[in-house]
Amino acid sequence: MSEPIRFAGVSKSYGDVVALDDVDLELRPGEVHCLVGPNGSGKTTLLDLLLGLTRPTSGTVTVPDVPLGCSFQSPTFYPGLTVTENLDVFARLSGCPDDAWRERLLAVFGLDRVAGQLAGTLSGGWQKKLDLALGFLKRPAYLLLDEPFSELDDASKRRLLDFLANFCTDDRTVLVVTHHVRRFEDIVDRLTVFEGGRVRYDGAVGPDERAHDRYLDVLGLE
Amino acid sequence: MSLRSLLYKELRWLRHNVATVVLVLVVLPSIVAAGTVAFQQVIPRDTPVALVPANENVTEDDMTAMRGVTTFFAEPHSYEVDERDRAMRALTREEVYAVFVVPPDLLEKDADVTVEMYVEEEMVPYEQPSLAISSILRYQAGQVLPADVSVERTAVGEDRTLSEFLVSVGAMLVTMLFAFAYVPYVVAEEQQVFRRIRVESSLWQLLASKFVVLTPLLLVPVLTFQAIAWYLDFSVDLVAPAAIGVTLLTFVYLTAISLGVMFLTRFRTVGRMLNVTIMFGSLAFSNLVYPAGFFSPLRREIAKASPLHYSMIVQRGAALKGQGVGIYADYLLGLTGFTVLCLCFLAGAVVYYDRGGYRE
Repeated sequence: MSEPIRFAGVSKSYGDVVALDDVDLELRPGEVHCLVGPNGSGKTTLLDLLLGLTRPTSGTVTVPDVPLGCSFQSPTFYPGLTVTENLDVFARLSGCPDDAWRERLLAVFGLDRVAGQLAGTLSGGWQKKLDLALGFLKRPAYLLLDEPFSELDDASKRRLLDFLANFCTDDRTVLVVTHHVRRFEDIVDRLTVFEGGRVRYDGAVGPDERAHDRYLDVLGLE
Repeated sequence: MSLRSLLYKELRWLRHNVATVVLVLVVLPSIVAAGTVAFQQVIPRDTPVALVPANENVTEDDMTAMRGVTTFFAEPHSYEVDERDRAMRALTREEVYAVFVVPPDLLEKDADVTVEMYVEEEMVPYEQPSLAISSILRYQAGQVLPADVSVERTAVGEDRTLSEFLVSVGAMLVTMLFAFAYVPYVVAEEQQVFRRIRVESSLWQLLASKFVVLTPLLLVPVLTFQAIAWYLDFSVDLVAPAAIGVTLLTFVYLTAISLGVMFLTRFRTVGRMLNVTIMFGSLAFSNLVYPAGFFSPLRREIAKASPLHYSMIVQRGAALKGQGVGIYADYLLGLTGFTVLCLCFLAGAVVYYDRGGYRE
């Protein structure tokens, strides 16, 4: 089992704007962890820190040396390459050119229907599916999904949830950054609520608990 | 009402794009307007030329007299009597555009003397001005010197047409266009993938791949130029190793500048406009076509400070004059140093881009 990801006293500022303020957080192996909070609460900054895309102003982020997969809020692929070519390029880049797994991902996300099309010409929904598929590409130990449901239709959301439920085994961790925690009620193990760059709540979600209710309760929304 | 709303939108847009607007509407026109200062004369009067004593009998007074006469149409540089080869080498290296061999007895009344004038056949745009200059020299010398002066003009090298000369320049222009317009466009197109690239690899690897692929790709337009030159039976050798080498080196430093500007401006429109400005500025002031000293002494000095000017000299030397790299070794060393500086600038710009995260 891999080590947890740890944030210890992490703060991040962009000029005068404090995006994260003294955050302590642990992402434990084998859990589906939902990170929720209103716009500008620091969720995406936390993801950027975790991926090494930016450095903390203070504090430490400890990430174990295991494969990380990610799907971003906005598309991050080569618009001038086809869907298949994008999967091929990023499989090579991450050093895991597993043809069977790639075919599986194409089928799961329905991308086989648009496999030969240039990624930049696809609709928003297809682009999101391609970005999600790229996140799963190297069968990561830690999978980080930023608003995975945006642009997806209901059937695609259902299919993604089923796939996530099967994907999350004992040694895989999924961090979902979202506004829509209700959608993940069935699979979420842990909930962290962010507000104003600070952790307002961090705790396990019991089998009889509703994560969405806890979220609303923490933020005093009803 | 819809027009008013759209006008309101335009005003808001202007406010958000103030840097680009100021660059395009204020800075660029200012540069163009101020740049006209560098264009003062149609007839060249400041081209560097070499004055070499013909033999030991030439006195300092002869040299001073000749310097005085040539100052009317050139910027004279004096050489010693045993430096004729060095002066001819300077001609090949475009340090000077004509070599005058100064005879003795210029100040002797009624002495019959001949000034030898050497120019290069391959420097086509200087051919007709040099004919005019030899006439002016004859006239001026007749006016101010006691001796009876004649001028013997000799064009050294191979005869080249203006078309052949321009093929060489055209290849350099395409290199500039490729570096300042195409490459930034291609990289900007892929900006959306930078976050994933940084996770799976790095921007350094991405840039390295761009240089590795695009630099040899530049050979395609160069070969196209060469193929057309062969078809038209032009005597131009753009595929000479020295010509190809300096063209690729030029592409690398120009691309490093253009990409550095793009990363520094975070791929905003202002970056593209800056690159266009740099491209046209380099084109206007690097004397790619005309010899340094045409139009004004200011333009000559700017050209002499421009690396592109030396790139053009080396490329022209290899492609039109059949010269090897040896004669231009110091130019190439300087260009290599400048390339390293430009790559450092690009590296600094990428670090700046990286440290700012991806937030505007």
